Amino acid sequence: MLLLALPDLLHPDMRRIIQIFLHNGGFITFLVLEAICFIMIVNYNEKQGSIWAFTTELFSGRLLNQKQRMTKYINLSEVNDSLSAENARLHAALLNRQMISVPVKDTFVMRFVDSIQGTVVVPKFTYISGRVITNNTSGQNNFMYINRGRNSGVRPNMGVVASDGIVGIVRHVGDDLCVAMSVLNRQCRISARLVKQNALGSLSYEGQDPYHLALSDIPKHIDVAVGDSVVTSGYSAMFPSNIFIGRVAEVELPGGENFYKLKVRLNHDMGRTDYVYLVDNLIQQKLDTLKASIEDEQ
Amino acid sequence: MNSSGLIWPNVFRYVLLVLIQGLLLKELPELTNQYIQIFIYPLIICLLPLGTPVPVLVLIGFFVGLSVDIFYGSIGVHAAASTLSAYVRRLVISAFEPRTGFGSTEIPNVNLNWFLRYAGVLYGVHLAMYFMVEAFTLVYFGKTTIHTIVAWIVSMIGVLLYMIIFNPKK
Repeated sequence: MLLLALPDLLHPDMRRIIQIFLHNGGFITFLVLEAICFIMIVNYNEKQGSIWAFTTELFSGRLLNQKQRMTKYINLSEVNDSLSAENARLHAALLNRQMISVPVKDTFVMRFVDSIQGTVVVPKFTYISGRVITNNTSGQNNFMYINRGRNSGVRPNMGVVASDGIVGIVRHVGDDLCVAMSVLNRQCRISARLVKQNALGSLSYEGQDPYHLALSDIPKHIDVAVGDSVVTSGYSAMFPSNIFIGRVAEVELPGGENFYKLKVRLNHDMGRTDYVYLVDNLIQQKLDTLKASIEDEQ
Repeated sequence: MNSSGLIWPNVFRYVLLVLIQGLLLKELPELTNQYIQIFIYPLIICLLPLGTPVPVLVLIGFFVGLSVDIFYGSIGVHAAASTLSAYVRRLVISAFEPRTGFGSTEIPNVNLNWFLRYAGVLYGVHLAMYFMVEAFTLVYFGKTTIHTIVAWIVSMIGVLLYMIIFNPKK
């Protein structure tokens, strides 16, 4: 019926398309219309649409997961650097929180200073994130090179810590590089504190064992046990207080001595030092400029 | 071919059945059991003239399904089922073709017995497709099958009623 009218009325290309539809026993028409139905179903019906979206997500999710597994190693170092920088910021924020006793009813309660209105927190420490380029643990006086220098605000005698312990003290500073004395260095002395007993002592390196430091100046009347925690005392300008150093590994009281010979096992593995933080004592800077100006006057 | 005598009855049937389906039969599952779903509109496709070319059949099926979809609010679901059953109709008719051929009859209706078998198969295909698309998942396949079987039984009763009342013959 209609087929006879086609050749006269329509453009040749249109005729061709309609011929394709008609010469296949209706199969192409069927496919095209079913495809249109499917598109309509998925787009205009909530239930079917969400099932379809879920299925495609599963499929593409798996593909994307595979792709991510393979590509995440490409920017691993950047991710690490940004995490290290963020850690420095967070450490500084933690360090600078101060707590004071606040009277509440008939007792006193410890509160963070910045939670009490009208007070201002004066930041004392800030962290500079960095990475160790060269390290050494074998000698008696070990040094390490860190990839931050004057251009990042590093100054001599800054403390160096890692996320799990103390690492050393900065000695010489270049523009983009600095040399730090490792804690495994006979010239390095760290002011430390036994937490439980609140006893002050001094940590130093004996020269042989890169996993332990010697804690001296703890008087014999104090009860010391293996496993007691040792932290930084905060009495030196280089390290903030209460940075965890390690635990007591050996307690020895040589006969006739008034002080213990304690061995402290370092929490941080010095052989695996990679990401470090340089401790910037902000008050120290003020003291230094003050000292410099006094010396100028003299 | 007496074209005009073939088109108008079909148009009338289309309007009548789509309206009955959309306005009356749609409300049935809510009023009674969820399972009582009667589908009468596939008869439009079943009773289309024997000579219609398949592409035209499929196209008509698509629009019939879409019309019902508009009433049901499920765009494309009935259309998907109808296009399939329209496409399959040719196969079913050639399978059920009587030994002596259809002769001069224009409408696929040899006798009631024959028609019920023919419509039964076509309905089976249509309803299976409809409920599978409606579920859109293989998780609830048992439930889908039950829906299909019950709807088939109930719809065939509707078909029987329609054939007794209207009895289209040409």
